[in-house]
Amino acid sequence: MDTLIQGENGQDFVGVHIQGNVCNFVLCDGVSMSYQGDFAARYLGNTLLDWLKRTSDWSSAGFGSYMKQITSEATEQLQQLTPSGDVSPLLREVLEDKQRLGSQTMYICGRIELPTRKKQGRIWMAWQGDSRLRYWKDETEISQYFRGTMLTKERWSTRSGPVGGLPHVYQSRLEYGEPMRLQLYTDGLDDLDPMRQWLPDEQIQLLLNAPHTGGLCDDAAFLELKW
Amino acid sequence: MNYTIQASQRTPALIIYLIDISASMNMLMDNKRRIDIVYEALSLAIRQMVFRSTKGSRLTPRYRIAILAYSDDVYDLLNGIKGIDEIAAVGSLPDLTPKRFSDAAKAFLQAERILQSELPHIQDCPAPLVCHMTDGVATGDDPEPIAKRIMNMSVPDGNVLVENIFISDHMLNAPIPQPRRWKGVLPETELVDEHAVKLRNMSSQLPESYREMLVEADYLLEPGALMMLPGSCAELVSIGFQMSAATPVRA
Repeated sequence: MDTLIQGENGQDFVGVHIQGNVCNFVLCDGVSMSYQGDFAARYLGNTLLDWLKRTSDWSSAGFGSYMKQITSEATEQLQQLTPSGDVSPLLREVLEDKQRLGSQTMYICGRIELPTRKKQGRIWMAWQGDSRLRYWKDETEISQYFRGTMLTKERWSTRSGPVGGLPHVYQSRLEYGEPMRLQLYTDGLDDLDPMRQWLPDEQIQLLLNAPHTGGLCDDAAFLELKW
Repeated sequence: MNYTIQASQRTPALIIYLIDISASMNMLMDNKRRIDIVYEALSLAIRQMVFRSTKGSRLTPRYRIAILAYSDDVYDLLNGIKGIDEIAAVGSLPDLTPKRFSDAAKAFLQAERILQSELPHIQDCPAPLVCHMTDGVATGDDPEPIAKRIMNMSVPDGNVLVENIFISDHMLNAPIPQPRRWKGVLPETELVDEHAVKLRNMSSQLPESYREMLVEADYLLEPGALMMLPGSCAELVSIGFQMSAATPVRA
């Protein structure tokens, strides 16, 4: 059965595609200081979901090269998004400068191939930026593999592809019968950072509503996968 | 107290510019009147703030600005504090016309009054910044005690910051050949001008968060540098105004 859930909230993007034992996922956080960060988030999110479905080259080099390759079409599409006519001349000039510099987004994408009794599974993930990637095995958090790699200066740009360094890539086998949990969220939901235990959806929603601060300061996207 | 609160729509940064418009600002530097170089640099800083406040096609007011020009008197060029969105809507800054004297103390006093009235309402915001630009010795009262009082005012993010841009060719022993490689004025830097020494006493230490923003813009100011710039060329004046707008913002 095909399941496709895509949500947009401001400049963040989440996409999940599940087919049989395979789950592809993407979470993007558009860079608000770039031109139309929501465009980069949406464009990259959709493009990566498509790539995850059809690629057979899972090497870091192959992925890095693909991230560069998709910039020309992205730039072409971005050029169509000219600033609207009802902005002040100063804002228009600034927006045109930003358009030349491109649209940027941070991202985490990945693919889970569930293990069966007869066959090991596999998880593959790639990311750039400061969105959070947290991973639990048997209720023990094993996110230490990713620490120091969630960097604000890293992102993907429609103009130049990977910025601030090469994409980080992680790959590991999955064993049958081992309960795993993967949590991804953008920095707008950084209230979650100190929390180690699993939280039910209602509590996540409470954090998203952020009544204690009158709402979140930034867009936020959250995705949790358990198997 | 570490200058890390990000300027946002909910927690905008307050920047007060004090601009000396004494008669000497008519003198030439880089073949332009000093006042025109200042006007251009200030306009560039405003543009930078617009750049850093734009989300999608929308301008979120992450900065609030007051511009006080001073000579014998103080002229409030924006008629109070204005949001960066309001300034962008107008499109250009009011003219700066040089007058006669240079009563910096009056300008600092007015800045102090603004801060006294604003501080209770901006406790969750980035520490405010007063950016003072002058090209000579202040006439009138000594501004240093007032500047010191301002530097002792604070919000949880840190003490109010005071920056000085001193348009002078005689502040340092040697010229700065490459402004982008310059390490900044440090507490031990030898200054050859008495007025420059006074301005240094009135300058805050550059917060690390500001320094990082400037390093991202390819300026190599050293840790411990002071918020003081010798405006000996247009680029250094421009760095000074960019420094004033280097409040951290969310990417």
